[in-house]
Amino acid sequence: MSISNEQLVAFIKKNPIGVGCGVLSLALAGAAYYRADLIPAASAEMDQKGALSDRLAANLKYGKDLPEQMQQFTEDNKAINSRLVSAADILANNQYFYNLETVTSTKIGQTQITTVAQARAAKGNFVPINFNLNVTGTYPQLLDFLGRLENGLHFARVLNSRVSKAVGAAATANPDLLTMTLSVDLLGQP
Amino acid sequence: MLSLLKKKKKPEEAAAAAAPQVPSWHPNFRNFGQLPDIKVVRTAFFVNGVAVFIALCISVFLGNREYELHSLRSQIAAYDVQIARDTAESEKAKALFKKFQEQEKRVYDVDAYMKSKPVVSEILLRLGETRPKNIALESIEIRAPETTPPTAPSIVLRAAVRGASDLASGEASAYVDVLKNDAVLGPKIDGPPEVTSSSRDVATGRLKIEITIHLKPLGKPPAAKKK
Repeated sequence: MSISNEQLVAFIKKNPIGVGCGVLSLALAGAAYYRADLIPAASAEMDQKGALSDRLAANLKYGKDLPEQMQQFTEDNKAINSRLVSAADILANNQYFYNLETVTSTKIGQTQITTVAQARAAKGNFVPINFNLNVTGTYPQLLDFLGRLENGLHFARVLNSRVSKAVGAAATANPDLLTMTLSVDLLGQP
Repeated sequence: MLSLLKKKKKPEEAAAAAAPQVPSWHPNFRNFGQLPDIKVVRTAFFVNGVAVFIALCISVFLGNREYELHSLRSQIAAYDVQIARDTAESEKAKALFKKFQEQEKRVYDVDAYMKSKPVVSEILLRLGETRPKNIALESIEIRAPETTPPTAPSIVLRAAVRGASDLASGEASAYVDVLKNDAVLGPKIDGPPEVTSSSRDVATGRLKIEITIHLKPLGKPPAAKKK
């Protein structure tokens, strides 16, 4: 069963609204089909750009006070750097302990354990420079020494300490004398 | 007379008239496609109505989607403008933040370093303040070595207790309780102090004791890794 052109034209002329709407519907459905992927793609792009935009806005928002805070930390770090020791500055390190000795009226013997090579081999911002100390004095003097060491110019922490009665001629002369052996880390830079 | 006026039927008509009265059948040659629709509401009206309705539905659907697409693209364009405006400043802020993190890490490293070991002067001072009259501390050892994994610091006290042995034991126990409940040392202690050794000094007759105090673990040490 075939339809001739005349019949088709006649049918269209007889049903112009129905045919027109059918053709229009088909055209719109085709357009909807071919453009179906655009919305998900645009939506995904919008989500991505929205997230990026939000992140940038957040960066600006939270970065607003950053220069001031950065300035504060920079100053703190300057202060920290001025309080660090260097494994290579053996004389300066000795001087630090001798100053404590003088101020607290104790007698000390000291050995720097961390070598320059060990300090240079360390990674990170800081390296603990280890010292062994042998401090002799009365109980108040030892407490004074420790207090000045732990709260002094350099960042110090005591790993091991032992306080016991001193021995030797000085101890015989002054029975209040005590000996304190310390293993101390001073914070240094590699 | 009237019978004379009647037209005489032909023989065929007479035969047809004489035939039985039944519904006549004949072939239906009407072309319904060309005949006008004589229903009250013509079918074309409904067909056209449905066609228009479908076309409208699809149009509304497509229009809605196009509007949505337009909105999305407008939003994307707005985001593009924002991104173009903020990118340079954000990159600057990111670079500054990276520097900030480095600076911040150094400060926190120092803080962690200082909190990684007990403050020995504070402990020694407190041990001196809490020492009972009849107990003489012979040695105080505070151990907080760097180990992997980290171990909790501890204090080892070696002391001599004056007085008779039966009373000295009670004094030693009381001293352990004093240490455990001390306002300064108590919060730092992990578990009750243990008397790890107790013996009488033959020469002096004094009770010698060793008390081990385990301290609570402290903060992590600084991140100074060695090669």
